[in-house]
Amino acid sequence: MDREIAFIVGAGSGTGLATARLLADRGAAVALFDRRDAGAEEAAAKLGAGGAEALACEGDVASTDDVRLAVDATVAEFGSITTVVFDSPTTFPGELEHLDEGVWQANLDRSLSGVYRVARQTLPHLLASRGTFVAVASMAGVRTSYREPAAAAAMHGIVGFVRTLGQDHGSKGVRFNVVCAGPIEGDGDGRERRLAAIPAGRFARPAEVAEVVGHLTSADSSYTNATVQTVDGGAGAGFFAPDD
Amino acid sequence: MGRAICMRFAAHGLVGVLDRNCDGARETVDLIGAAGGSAVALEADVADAASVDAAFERFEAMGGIPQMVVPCAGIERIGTVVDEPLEDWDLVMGVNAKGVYLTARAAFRRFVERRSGSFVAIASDAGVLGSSQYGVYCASKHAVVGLIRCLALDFGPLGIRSNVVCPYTIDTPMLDDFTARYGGEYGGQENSDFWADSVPLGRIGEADEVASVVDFLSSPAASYVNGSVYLVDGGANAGAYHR
Ligand SMILES: NC(=O)c1ccc[n+]([C@@H]2O[C@H](COP(=O)([O-])OP(=O)(O)OC[C@H]3O[C@@H](n4cnc5c(N)ncnc54)[C@H](O)[C@@H]3O)[C@@H](O)[C@H]2O)c1
Repeated sequence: MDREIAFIVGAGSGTGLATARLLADRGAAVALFDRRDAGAEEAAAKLGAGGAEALACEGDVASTDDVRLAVDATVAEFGSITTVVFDSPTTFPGELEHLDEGVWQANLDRSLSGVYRVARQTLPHLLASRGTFVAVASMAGVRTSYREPAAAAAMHGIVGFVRTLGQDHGSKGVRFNVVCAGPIEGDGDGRERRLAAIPAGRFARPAEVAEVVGHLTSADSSYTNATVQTVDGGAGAGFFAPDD
Repeated sequence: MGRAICMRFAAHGLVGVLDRNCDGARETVDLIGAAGGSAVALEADVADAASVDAAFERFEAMGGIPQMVVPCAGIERIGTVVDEPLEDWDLVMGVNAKGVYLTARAAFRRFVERRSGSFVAIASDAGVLGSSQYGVYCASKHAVVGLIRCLALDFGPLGIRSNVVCPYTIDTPMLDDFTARYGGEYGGQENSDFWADSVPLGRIGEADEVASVVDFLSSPAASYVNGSVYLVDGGANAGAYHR
């Protein structure tokens, strides 16, 4: 691969931003897609000041037009796309009793359907560059999501969708994988109870998730395709009883 | 595969190359030496506790510190519960399952003392799914995945990470052994064609494509990855697939 050109969705903060930094640090040109005022503009400016080629794209993954415009802008600026990272938003729409249809739809629209829109718009570019695609989901993609059934539905959907894309396009040289990350430092509440179930004894740092994304978008993972890789401090390994 | 992992690990320091095949281990040591690294050959049988312990002691006596330990020794036998020789169970379980356990036993005593270390076992896709005629091998590899998950839970609080890599068909001497033992056909096709056709990437893997994942998981970059099962299979086990 000559030059890495990454299109990163959800790049304004958290693991998406950490991924943008990691990829820029290894020399990639990075397009940072996020909603207005979600930090992409500042992040791109900062990366640019540090010597990276960085472009901010404002838009909503729930809008096909926004995604298309951002993909086109990235290709116009950098010439192609070799790496796509979709960092799924963490949402907390709540239990079934509170989950009216509008909330359910809005949740899916930004997560699962967002992945669909981004994959669909970037596929031609990935096929041309024989690139890689990584969706970052939560551990709700392989397990349940306590009191958040909509999150588990969306994340399981992302896992099934992205793995199938890997199956369908692997022979054309494009790899698709999913990262299921354990709770990340700083997001959500009800933290103590969740912390107690993590052997690592702490939540994930965004940079630690970015490292896994970095691995899966590098040549080091050339035979890794259509897989789910977890980064969860051991929480998904089974029942954990701290011994003190 | 073990050799490819040793070659990658040579970038980090002294490598202990453990194998019961001493000539093979020496060749690996020579290759590492030729590439500018340093390594020592450790002849041992992973199915024998005393032999594994002695190999760790020899490594330490030569100045080695086991920090990234990778049990990769494995053997393959196929057949069904009706026709496979009974000896296969003890043979395969001894190397593939007990071998990982005995290696863990030696490694974790040292890891706990230092409160650091990384353990990455090599299982197989047969560690997470079934495979026609692979009952004994599957049982041995499922044992590895189960053991690794428990090691992750038991030692994660000390900052010691345990993970397992599950490769699918990789171009190594194991494939040649398979052909020598069971013939050149599987699934009604020439072996390597059959396996390549079952992989969405359309080819069998190279040993270094597994080694690079092991190297990542063993490194500080994977600091929050513990108890994970990393398939390295070109997509072969994602679901039913036809070329
Ligand atoms: N090659 C594949 O397609 C494939 C696929 C999935 C999993 N695996 C697994 O990957 C691992 C490595 O396999 P490989 O393909 O490199 O096979 P290989 O046969 O090339 O290497 C296995 C090595 O293990 C050594 N060994 C066997 N029994 C031993 C014992 N009792 N004590 C010490 N050393 C012993 C052998 O001497 C050999 O050097 C194995 O655990 C295997 O089951 C291989």
